[in-house]
Amino acid sequence: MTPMPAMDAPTVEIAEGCIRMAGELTIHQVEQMRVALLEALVSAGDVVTLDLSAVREIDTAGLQLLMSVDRELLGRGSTLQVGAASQTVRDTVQLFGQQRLLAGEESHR
Amino acid sequence: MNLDDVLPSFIAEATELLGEMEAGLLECARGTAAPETINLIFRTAHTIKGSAGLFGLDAIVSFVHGVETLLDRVRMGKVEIDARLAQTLLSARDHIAALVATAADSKEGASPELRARSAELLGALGAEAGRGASDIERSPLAGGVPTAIRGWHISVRFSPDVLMSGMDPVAFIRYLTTFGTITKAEVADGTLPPLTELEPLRCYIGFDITLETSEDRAKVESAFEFVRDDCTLIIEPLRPAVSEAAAPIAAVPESADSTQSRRPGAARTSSPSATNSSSSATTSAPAAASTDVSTIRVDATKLDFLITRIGELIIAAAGANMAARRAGATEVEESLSVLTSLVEEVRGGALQLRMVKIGATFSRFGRVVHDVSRELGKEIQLVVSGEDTELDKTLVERITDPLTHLVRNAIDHGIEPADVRSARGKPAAGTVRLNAFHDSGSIVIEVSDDGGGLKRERILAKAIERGLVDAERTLSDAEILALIFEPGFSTADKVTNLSGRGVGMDVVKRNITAMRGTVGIRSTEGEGTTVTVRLPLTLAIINGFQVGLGESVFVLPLESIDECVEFSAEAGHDFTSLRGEVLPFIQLRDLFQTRAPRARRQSIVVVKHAGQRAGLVVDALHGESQTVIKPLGKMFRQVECVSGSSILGTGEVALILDVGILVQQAVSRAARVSSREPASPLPLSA
Repeated sequence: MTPMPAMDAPTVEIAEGCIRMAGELTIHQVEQMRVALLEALVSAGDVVTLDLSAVREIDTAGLQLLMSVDRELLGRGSTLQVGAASQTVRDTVQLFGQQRLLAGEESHR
Repeated sequence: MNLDDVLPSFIAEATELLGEMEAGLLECARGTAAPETINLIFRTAHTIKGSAGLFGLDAIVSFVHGVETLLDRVRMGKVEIDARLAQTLLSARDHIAALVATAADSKEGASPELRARSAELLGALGAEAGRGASDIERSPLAGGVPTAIRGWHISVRFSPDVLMSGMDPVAFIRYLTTFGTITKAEVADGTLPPLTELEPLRCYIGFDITLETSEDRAKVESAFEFVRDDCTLIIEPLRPAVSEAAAPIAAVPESADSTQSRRPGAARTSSPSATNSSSSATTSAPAAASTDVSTIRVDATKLDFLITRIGELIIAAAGANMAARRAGATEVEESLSVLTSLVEEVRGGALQLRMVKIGATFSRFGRVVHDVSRELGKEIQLVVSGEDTELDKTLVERITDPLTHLVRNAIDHGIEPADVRSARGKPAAGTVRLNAFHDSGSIVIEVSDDGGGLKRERILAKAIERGLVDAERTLSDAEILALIFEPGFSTADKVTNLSGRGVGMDVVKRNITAMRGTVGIRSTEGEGTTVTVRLPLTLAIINGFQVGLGESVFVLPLESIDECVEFSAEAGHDFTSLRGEVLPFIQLRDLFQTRAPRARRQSIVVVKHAGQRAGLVVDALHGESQTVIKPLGKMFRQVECVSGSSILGTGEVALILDVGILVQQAVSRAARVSSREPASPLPLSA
């Protein structure tokens, strides 16, 4: 199946030890995200902070990606912390009982 | 598979789906939509998107995706769909139709203008949705009698390719929350690899959900209907009821990725209370009894070919029958009669294939009425009846334009503005009625309105002004009303975009006459107007009745015949008494100037048309026969009383009589008899 055109260009930024993902975290972007994340994780320390406040949409592929990041870090002995998450990310994560992913989240709203 | 060959299929399917979408959106605009309607609209969008994706039509895919996202939020209860949003969605639907049409025409994809329009519409939808959004989730158990809260354990595992198929499992689970509450959920991630090894487009996760809901199993299954083939689904009742225990246990097909065990106990599940019930596994194969009628698309030309062949089969069988009779071969005659009755059945079946219900055409007018009433600022209600009335496919296509014009006329000129209506004591909303039914071999379609009716004086004045009518002549009511079908006629005060230019009604009449139909009009001032369109039902093969006139054979459509009686009447009169009823008749041998001597005992065939009866006097009655209609050439179009010809088994030609014209002539002649005009032979051509 031909890859569908990207609905919107997503971004992964690293600033002050925090990896910020913005845009849509769906099947169209996951491969890009994965590569960017792997790069970002190379230089990451024991605690990796994710900022998901600017993630507008998340689907199965996106959720899977997050869980896979979590697994990756566990394997390394690091911890994943989600510093901030958008409402849609929070809703989705909570819907599937994955609250522990958000354990490090500060309450923003 | 060459996709180009299949593209027409996509276009046809998309067109149908867009029709369903429109019907659903119209209901939303009127505020009469059921929750199932929202689902239907969502499904049509989803299907169109999926199919368009197969063909790489990315302009369609990306636009419909935006629409679908909004529709998803609507069906989850996050956005209310009010009249304004419905209107914007209707525009979006029209735009999808435009994009689909482009796909049909060119290979180049959507033009910049179309793409700009896509962006514009998506923006508008976003704004509308933002306006109507609420963060309050619809309470899944709201309203109604509190039923015993049951629920379901749902265990679902997806095939690794499910994401590639365009499905989003998370969306299905989210959908469950629209009719239930998820009290516990776990993600089965046993096969999920770490990031370095992750193939992002493969699905590694499954779900185990506890859903509290009063909905039944079928409702839960329906949430997964799009992925039935791509997942293994196990649904177990939360609290067993007696009826659940009796549910059949069906085999669960192995999914491609069967590393997960099927039994819920193996995967991490939630509460253990279900395990003591007789667990019933459901398959992911379609189990719900579908009330969909299965249909098949057929090329119209193939159908026509078939019907022509059957026509010739009928003629050939008739010929064989004659030959057998002449040869006195009774055995052959008997087997031929079996053959003939089979051929009749086949004929009936083939003709049925071409018959379609007029309901589909009527439902299109929902949109016409909606648009026109918005344009004119009049509130209009459309009432439809007789949707199951069937007519030939070719007629359906040709009747749509004339009917559209009649409906527009009714709304534009017929229905008065709201204040005038209230002053007259009528409800503010005008009613336009569409009705269809069968009547003696014809299909009758009525377009009525409860508006102001036609004003006789104005019509007459206009006609005199245009020189169509002499000022001194007295015209009957019906004749005055018939004037509006004259070319260039319009009494509209102002010409609107829709009608009033005077090019409408005469074109309508011409179109209908070309279909061998008639159009009439009835109206009461202040109350309303009804336009009646009459069209012949079947075109190719009819049940005929043969009559003899001298040496010639004529055919009458069996449906128009009421009875046959022996003929007796006083000479010089054009009417006879039939059980106390005055029956006007025509001596057909006078009409056709038959030279052969008159039979000693003539018969009168009583025929009916449009509620009127008349008698046709013939020399002999030959009986019923399957009649294959062959049209007469252009040269004979002027001959009014004959509507076609047919080939008999003997090879001779029999003319088919136009009952409608004959009845009209007989009736109007009888009307003039009272003014003492002498009976005269009717001319053959008018």
